[in-house]
Amino acid sequence: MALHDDLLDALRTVANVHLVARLVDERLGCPDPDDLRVFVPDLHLVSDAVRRRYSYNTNHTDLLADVLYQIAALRSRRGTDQTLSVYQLGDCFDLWREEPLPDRRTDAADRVFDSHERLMEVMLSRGVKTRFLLGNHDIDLHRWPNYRAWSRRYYIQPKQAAQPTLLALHGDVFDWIENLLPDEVQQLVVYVTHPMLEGSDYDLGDMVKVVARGHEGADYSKRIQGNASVGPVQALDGAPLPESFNVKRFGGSKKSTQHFAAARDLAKDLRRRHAGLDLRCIVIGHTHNARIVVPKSDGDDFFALVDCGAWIETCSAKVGSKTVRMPNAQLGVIGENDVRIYQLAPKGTA
Amino acid sequence: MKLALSCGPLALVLAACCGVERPTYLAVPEQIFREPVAAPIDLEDAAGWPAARDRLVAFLRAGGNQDNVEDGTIVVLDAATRYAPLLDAVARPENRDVEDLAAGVYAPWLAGPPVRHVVDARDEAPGRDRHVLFDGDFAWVFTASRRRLVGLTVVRRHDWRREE
Repeated sequence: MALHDDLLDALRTVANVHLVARLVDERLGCPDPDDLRVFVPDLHLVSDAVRRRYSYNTNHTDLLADVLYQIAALRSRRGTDQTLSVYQLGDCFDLWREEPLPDRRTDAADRVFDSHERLMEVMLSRGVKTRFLLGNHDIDLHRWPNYRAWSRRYYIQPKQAAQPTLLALHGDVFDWIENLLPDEVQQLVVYVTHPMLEGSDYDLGDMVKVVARGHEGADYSKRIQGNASVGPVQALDGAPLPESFNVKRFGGSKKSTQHFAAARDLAKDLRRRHAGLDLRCIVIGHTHNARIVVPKSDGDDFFALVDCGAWIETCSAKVGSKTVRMPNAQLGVIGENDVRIYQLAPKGTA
Repeated sequence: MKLALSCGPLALVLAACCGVERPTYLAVPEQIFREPVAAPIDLEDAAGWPAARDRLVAFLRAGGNQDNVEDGTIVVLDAATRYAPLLDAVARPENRDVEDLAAGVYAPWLAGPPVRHVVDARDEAPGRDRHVLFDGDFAWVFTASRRRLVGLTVVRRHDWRREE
């Protein structure tokens, strides 16, 4: 049985699973059925004390821990030639809601960790080996040794690929590209894509300042990104899945194709700068809006933006003929030239 | 974007030349952040160097994280070309006197002067045989014997380089 089927079986032992979107395309550049990458988008974890102050919070943390334990078990059973890797796409912690004073955020991170011990233990376990990205809500973590391995980008070179074909980013860089003055953007994009610049570099101070500015005046009392509309979702009831499902075309609604042009241009620039690099897919979180976006027409240069959604706030989805609002609880999965986004819910719920 | 990416080396030069605290000691990080994970590469083993060099490049490409090496997760995309001149220099026996570290032989790539204080919980007692130069997120830990550089371990740094 293919690794993706094994993963799906494992997910279904602990969750009801719906398909949010699917794209099968050999140009994704990850052909090997024994190489699967799982992406966990924004969690925005806060401590128990802070959680009580908000009307919205991280959804289904126990379910996510259960999912990760299933993945750990699957990883322990897998063959030596199989890869099953987990990436958290940034904003794992929400230090902006947790602690207003930057210098106190290391204690804040520990508080958050302690409030979510089961989840964090399995995420950090050697069984899962989660790789973390820094997001705009937890960028301050780069200052402390325990988080120094958290990065701003991961290029992924799947088996059978001669070069990396996927790039995972938090996605906040595309806010800057779309909203800041060109000079400022040019400087900041360096911090995300330059091979030798990491969260630890002192001149990241400029980026941290821009991130801080982005939070200034933001009112997180009721929302961060707000409700997302994901369109139709399909229950996984054993029926064959369509090869293309709920894939958005660039040029459609602005909200559902947000950041596509900036991501496509970034990939194009990286391909130009690095000989042999055939980067055709960028994976992000940040917007809390799960979707897969491709170019306007099949004749255009192929590129896919995969936004894996979130585990906070809500989305509206069409289930059959009804529109249902559900807590965001999504995973992105890529392998065998097949990218899917799943929506999860605890067993016994809708 | 073109301008943006070409600014990178400038930022690095600035980071290397001014405004950055020089570390006074190195804390050797956990196993997954070291290459090799155990004993240093034997620099006097010329036959073993090509394989050791390949492992080093893979480690640097992976951002200094063995978990990334395992599954093709890459942080430093151009590590192979970026580090080729440095690794060529390390391979040459004439560049392996302890004095070469302070004399600037490695200055084009690694920041000095060498740090001598290394905290490694695996040691039985503090030692004086290590000389550390720095390069962005990596520390290059040379082991010396009788004033010759005989071993090399590259580790991912866990300190945050603050602005002075």
